[in-house]
Amino acid sequence: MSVTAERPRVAAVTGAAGLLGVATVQALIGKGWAVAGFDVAESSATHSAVLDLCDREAVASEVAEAVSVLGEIECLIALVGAPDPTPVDDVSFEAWRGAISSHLLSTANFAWALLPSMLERGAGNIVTVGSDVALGAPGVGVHHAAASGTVLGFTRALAIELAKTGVQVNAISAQLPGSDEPRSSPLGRDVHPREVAATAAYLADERHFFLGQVLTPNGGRVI
Amino acid sequence: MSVKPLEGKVALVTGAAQGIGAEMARRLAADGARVALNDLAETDRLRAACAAAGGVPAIADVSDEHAVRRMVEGVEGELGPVGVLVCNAALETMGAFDGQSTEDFYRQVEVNLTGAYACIKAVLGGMRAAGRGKIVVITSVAGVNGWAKAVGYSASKAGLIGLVKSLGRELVGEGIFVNGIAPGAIDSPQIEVDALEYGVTLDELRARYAEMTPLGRIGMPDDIAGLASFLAGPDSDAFVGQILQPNGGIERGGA
Repeated sequence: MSVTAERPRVAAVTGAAGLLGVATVQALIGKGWAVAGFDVAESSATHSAVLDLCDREAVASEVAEAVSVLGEIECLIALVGAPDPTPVDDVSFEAWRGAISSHLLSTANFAWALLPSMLERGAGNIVTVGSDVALGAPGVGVHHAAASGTVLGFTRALAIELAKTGVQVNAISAQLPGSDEPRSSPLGRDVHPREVAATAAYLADERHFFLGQVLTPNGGRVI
Repeated sequence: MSVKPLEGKVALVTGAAQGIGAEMARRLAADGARVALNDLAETDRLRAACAAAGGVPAIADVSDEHAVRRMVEGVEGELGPVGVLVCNAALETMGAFDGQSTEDFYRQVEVNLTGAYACIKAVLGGMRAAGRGKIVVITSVAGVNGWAKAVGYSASKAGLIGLVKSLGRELVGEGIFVNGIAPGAIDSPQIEVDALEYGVTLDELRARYAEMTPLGRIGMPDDIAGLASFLAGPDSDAFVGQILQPNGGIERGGA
């Protein structure tokens, strides 16, 4: 009698080579997932793709490649955009556009690439992850806050548009590594990347009833 | 096989004879906790929930501060100090605001809000001695967003949101984490009250709630139980005084 090994569930993690990405890949692999990692550098994911996340065609082609290696992707965790403390007066137009693109365009590119198969299966799980400066937490970089805000708008609207399709879309708005003023939070310490990763892994791994919500592992910076 | 996330913890779940409470107790036990299941009386339903969770009954009316203290002493004597408290016990009466008696209105505040206050007070000593604790308060979309003909219930649940936010800030420095869950429409015995109010069968009510929920389905107790276990566990310390809203998209603002 032949025994077929059960294939692990597959998640896509963008920004997989960053601090938060490494923690998220680890959390998912710890729960038995296979992870396709996408970033501008190699990641520790099960399958690692190196690409420009803002290039829609490159994203589509690397997603297809990852699916052919690991199987259909059930869950997207979009981690994008690093905090940048540049004061508003000193933010160049290129830096402004770069922040918006690295957050919003990269998230949308992966949603576009993954949605056809999620919609066909009538199931999917998308989690966008951004900084709680978008919710008014103390932090730095107006361009970074604005960019994080665009992702929240995107997430909530996409959640409602897809509500009846079986694809659940939610956001995590966290205190991210590199944010300043950690002691300003009730928790009194920085939120660790693995704590944000654990929240993402919860949303990936558990059957849940969240839709268009923003989960806030932020040490109480915004309550 | 890795260690279960709640191994070695004692969890007390109030209102655990049925519905979301029973499911949370079962899940916390499956994740390694020794559980005590509170309800008003040791009914067959509570015994069945205890059997399903491998837990012990803990009898008290949560709105009776003295009874709650005795109950917690009993649980601590039997299982050890409570490290996880889930305040879930709730009473809902529905009806037009000016048709509701003062007693009916206020009884909901007593059970839902004062009950949580009494339970938290009773377990705090043990949590402080341990230097750690997790408190999960079940509030409601009605407390976030309001619910017509459930004014007393909504007010009591909104009160819990204030409690969670304030106590979350106050206790986090002592290693005690307080967070809230505000579920949307969940398929639990509580919706029998709603069906009665609207004059529909339970199946009709489930269909109505599924229709008004953007996700297109009514929530199930295990949707909430997994979240309660996450908030009770070691990986959620970054959540402080937060209200999480597993409501299928009915309300999408902050709470």
